[in-house]
Parts: sequence; structure tokens; C-alpha cells
Amino acid sequence: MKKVAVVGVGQTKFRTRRNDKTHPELTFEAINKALEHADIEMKDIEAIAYGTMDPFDGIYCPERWDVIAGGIGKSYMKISTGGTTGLTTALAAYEHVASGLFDIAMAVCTQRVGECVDAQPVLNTAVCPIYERHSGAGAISVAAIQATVHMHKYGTTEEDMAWVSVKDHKNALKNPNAHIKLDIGIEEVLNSPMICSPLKLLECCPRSDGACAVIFASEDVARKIRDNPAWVLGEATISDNYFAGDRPDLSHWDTLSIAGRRLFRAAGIDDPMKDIDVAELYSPFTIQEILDLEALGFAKKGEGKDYAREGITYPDGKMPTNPSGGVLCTNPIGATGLVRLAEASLQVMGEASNQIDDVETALAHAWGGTLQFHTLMIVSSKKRI
Amino acid sequence: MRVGIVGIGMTEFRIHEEPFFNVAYRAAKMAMEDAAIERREIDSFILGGYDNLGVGRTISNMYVAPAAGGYLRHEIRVSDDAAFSLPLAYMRVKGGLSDVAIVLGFGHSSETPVELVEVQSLDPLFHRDFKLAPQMGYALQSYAYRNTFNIKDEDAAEVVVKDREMARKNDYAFLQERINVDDVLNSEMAVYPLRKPEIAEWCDGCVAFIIAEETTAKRINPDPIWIEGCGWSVDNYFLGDRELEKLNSTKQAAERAYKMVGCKPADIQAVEIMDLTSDYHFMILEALGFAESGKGRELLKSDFPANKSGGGLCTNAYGSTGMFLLANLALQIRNGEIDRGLAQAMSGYGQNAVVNILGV
Repeated sequence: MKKVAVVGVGQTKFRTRRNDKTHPELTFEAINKALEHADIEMKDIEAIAYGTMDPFDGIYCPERWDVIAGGIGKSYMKISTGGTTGLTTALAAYEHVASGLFDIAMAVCTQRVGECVDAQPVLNTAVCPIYERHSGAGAISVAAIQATVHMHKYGTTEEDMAWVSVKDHKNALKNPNAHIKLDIGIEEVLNSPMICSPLKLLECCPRSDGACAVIFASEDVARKIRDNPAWVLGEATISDNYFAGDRPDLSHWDTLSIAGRRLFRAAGIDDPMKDIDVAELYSPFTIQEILDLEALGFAKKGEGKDYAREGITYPDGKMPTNPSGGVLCTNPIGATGLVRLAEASLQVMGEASNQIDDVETALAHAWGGTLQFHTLMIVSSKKRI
Repeated sequence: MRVGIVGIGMTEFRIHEEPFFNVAYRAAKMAMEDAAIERREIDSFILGGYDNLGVGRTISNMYVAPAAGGYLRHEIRVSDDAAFSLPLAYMRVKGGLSDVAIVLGFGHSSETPVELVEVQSLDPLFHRDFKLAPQMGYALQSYAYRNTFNIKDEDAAEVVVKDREMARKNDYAFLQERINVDDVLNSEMAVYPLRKPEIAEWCDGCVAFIIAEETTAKRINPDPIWIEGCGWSVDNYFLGDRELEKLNSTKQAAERAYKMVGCKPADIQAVEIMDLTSDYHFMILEALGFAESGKGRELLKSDFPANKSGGGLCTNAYGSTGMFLLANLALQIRNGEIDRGLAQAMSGYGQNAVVNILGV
């Protein structure tokens, strides 16, 4: 397998609606920023993996239109896997280079959630029309069930979850691209309107417009492009059962645990708490950061609830989590996973807006499909742990 | 290290009324039985097919991945014609990230009015008001092609006759009724200059391949069908900025695939092409390098080995058509009829194209 590194990252500003730009113009903005970051030109890009979740965009197969942002004549492939789309698109671009077929490939994801009236009814069309659609299942409702079960099993409180929101919002203040920027305390979170019990407004992600691009290069090329590439140490993707009702215990994200163990073995990680310096986790709802931390071995089961309150997941804590402000403050759904990798890569390069000290290895995560899918990637300043 | 196809599974191509994950399951199961391996031996599940409006469900891999056997396994979906998923799976195996993978293409066009869906792919500023259904885009290209190269209606009708004759001998093909040139020429005009039999009809179906890296492939099957070359490309989105009488993305995809194999068109012994219209048949063969521009019709008279399956014109399950063509090509190789063949697929009025070359 060829060694592959992230050599360029570009993000647009994420807002409720980016009415200032068309779909391909947003894509163009992210691509240009990534090219500038890598200091290369579009002609250097050999292949593009493009990702989006069409149903939010108000246009079907927007990759066809977005090709005018720079893809014409290139090897161009569209990936779509729900909330994991951003990271699976990154994975596809990574595979382009790891296979040896290409030396430089770009992952680019654009999403305009602001084009749809509401994301939740759209997500409801993903679940089985015969057995589960009538339940109204969407992202918020399944996250609320996760929270309720975790509270019941481990005594997690509304305040425990609210601390995650306080931490993420403080981090987003330092991220120029973040969508929601609020300097809030625990009381504001707890007093915000209830969305789906027990999750309140400030515990739920926004719906964002924006785009992200990440450039991958083979070892020789990466060295020429920059001195501080973020080497990809490993990847993992996993699918659970289609039916949410067939998943045994929503207080644990067992599929994420399985994917995490596979990833850590492939990447040579013995102790994630010790070997991983920062994590960008896909947690559009506060409870999910707690579940992610527990599933990935950063916290013991039932103890993730204490991490934000005790400062462990703050930038100066033992396990900095979502220093970008995370998905809770910015969620262009089909691009969100790629933003996680972009931010993780910037941390490894030492160039993040909310930079953690001495980062060597960073983890990027995304989940999708009403809790069905997970995708993970690890990047590091070293080629091997 | 080479990557080989060691198992093939294909469902009937027709309108499937049952829950569609059953159809995907059958294709996957047939491929595993064909390779004589169990689900647990497969580490990666690479799916290909459209999403939401195209198949009636958002995140369509949610129901297809478990049906293909992807429970607790690596899973990803190419959201285009499934023929694009073969190069992705190839790259995963070639990169050493997978030993044995399944590639599953699903097409469920009966779930949605595809014409209305495809209109939503038109940008809201310039194109959408034209309400160009796919057939109208095809017709623009056919008109340009016939006009530029003086193609007679009779020439185009011959394609339908030939594809149907081939499809009659293919149990998997959707449209199998015999038709002659007069029938085509006297049939209802669909979108000028295309008559109804000259445009593919929608159907449903799934195709699965088991692929493996070279050593494993030989252990599973003593005679794997090797994926020798893959190429894919994309043309301009704006129809007004494209050469409508040519398929430039198919041309570029083919050139990349030939380069990867180190061969030329003359080394290809049979082709399966996604001729969703009669004119596309000529245009694709020209783009693939088998004839000069405007001369594709001459291949019809020379018994050029194209579309033994009946082609896209007789079987078009929106999303899995390209995999249907690939499977039919692979079966020709497995049966010893040819040593090397090419399958082409495209989407979005020929904007995106992929060419895969298989061989022994």
C-alpha cells in the first residue's frame, strides 16, 4: 500500500444559507482554498471524489453541475452515504492514491441544507416505509432515545450533556468558519427550548450551507508539496443493521467500538487516550459526544458524561475533543465528515484556528444513516505510530 | 498484483414489486454461491446506485448494505451508475485495504418517475425551466449526431433490431420482443428524432461481483476474470457547451482504460455498451475508438461484436445498467468466447462515463 498524506485543506464559511453563491460557486470556493493551502493548481489534481447528500440540496445529482468548479475532464466519482458522506468521500479519494493509480486526488463535499424546508422529514424517508417510517424516526429522535437510555442506565443528567454544548460553543468562537458562534454558559443551554426531550435547542446542531475540500497525495508528491503533511495512518467504515429496532442497546455505540478497534489495530494505536492527541467527533447532539468517547475507548462506559464538566475534553484538557466547535456548531450534513478530517489534519499540521499544543495524531469520525454507519480516519505527523 | 472477479450474481431485470432489499439480497447471495464463499469471508461492501429521488429512499445504501451482507463490515456507495463502483472496489483491493470485496449494483427505477427526478438534476438558474427529461437530452444529441453525419433513420432503426435480436437470446434481458426496421420506423415518435423503441425503457434489477486480490482470487476460483483496466471521466455540465454529436467523457475514459491495460481498441474482442438510444450506439463505439466520427453505423454491417447482452437499449435499470453490461461481458469471458472485452457506462446525458476492461 502506498503511503498517503493530506496536503491541503479548504473550507468555506458555513452559514444558515449561503445565498451569495450557487452550488458550484461554493464548491469552487472550497477547492480554491485547498489549492491555495497546498500551493498547487487545479491542473495538478488528477482525480476528484465528490460527496453530497442530494435530498437536502434542492437539486438532484448536484455533482453534475458542480463539475464546472474544476472537474471537467478529470476522473470524477460521486460518493453518498448519509452523514458519513464527507469521510467516505475522503476515504474514496484516499483509495485513489493508496492504490497507486493516482498521485494527487481531491475529496470535495458541498451541501446546502438551507435549501430544504426541514432536514428531519428528509431523513425520515431513509427508514423502511413498511416498518419504521411511521415512527417519525430522524436524526434528532434517535439521538433523544440514545440520551434517554444513557440517562436511565448511567444516571447521566441534563446538565452533564449541557456541558458538552458549552464547551463546543466556546471552541466555535475561535473558528472563523463555524456557523453558530455563541458565548454561552450552562444556564443558557438548560433554559433553551426543548426540541426532542431531553435534547434542547442548544444541544442540537444547526443546518448549514457550505463546502470543504481535502487534497491527498502520495508519499513522494506530499513531501514536495509541504513540510508538514498529515499522514493517513488508517481508516475504517462499518454498517449496522438497517432496522433501528433490531439494535440491542442504544446506550452503547457498539458498531463504533468495533470500527474503532479495527482502526486502532491497523494504525498501531495501543491506547487511544495516550496515542491520540485530539479528536474531531461527529456529535450533532450533545449525548453523541459522550457516546463517541465511550465507544472509542477515550472514556469507560458511563463515564463519558463527566468529561466536558471536568474539562477533560476542553482544548487544555487530557482529551481535547472538537476544538473546531464540532458538528454541534456547524453541520453541512454531507460535508460534515470531511470537515472533521480537515480540522484533524490542520491540528496535525499545527495550523488549526484553535490549535492544541503538540498534536502528533488526530482522529476524525462521522456517523450516518439514523445511527447505522460509522467512518473513521486517523492522521498523524508521523508516518507510523 | 492483479484484481480478479471470482463470483457473479445477477437477478432478473424486470419490474420488481417486492421489497427491493430482497432483490439486492438475491444478487449478493448468487454471487457468493457462484464463488463458493460465505458472507463472513468478504471484508468490504462497495455499492453502486442512485439515492433518494432515484430509488425512492434517502441514503439508499442503508437498506442495500445489510441486504448485500454488509452487517458489521466496511461499506461505501458510489452514487451513480454502479459501473463506477467497480473502479472504486478495484482501488481498495489494489491498495491492500481489502482482500475480498463485493461490488453490488442496484437499480430500482420503478419506485420513482425517473423523468421527473432527472429534471431536478437541472440547475435552477439556466436549465430547469426547460424541463429537459433524459429522453429530451438524448434527442438533442441524436438530432445533432444525425444532422452532422447524415445518419438516416433506417440506420438508427437497425440498432434496435440488432440489440433486440441479441436480447432475445439473453435470459436476463428486459425487452426481448422481436422487432424489424419497419416496426421501428412506423412506431410512435417519442422525442424527435427518436421513436419509442429507440429509447431504453426503465426496469429494476441487481448485479453483484465478488472480487479479490490475485492470490486469494486464484484460491477461490482457478479462472478469475481479471480487471485489466478502468477509466472514468466527466464532461461539461452545460449541454450548450458540449459537442452534442460526440461523447467526450467516454472517449477520455476509454483512453485511460486502454493506457492502464497497455492495449488499443483493436485488442478488444467484444464490447458491452450503454446505448440508451439508437444513436448512442454509434456515438459510443466511435468514442471508444472503434470507428471514426460518423462512421459507427458501418460497424453494424460488419458484425462487430457489440452488445451480446442486448445492450442498454434492451435492459436499463437506472443505477445498475452498467453492472448488467459488465456481468454479461464477464460471462462471455468465463464461457471462453473472448479473452478480453470492454464495458462502457454513462450517466447524465453522457456527461459522466466509465470504461472497464476485463480479460483472462
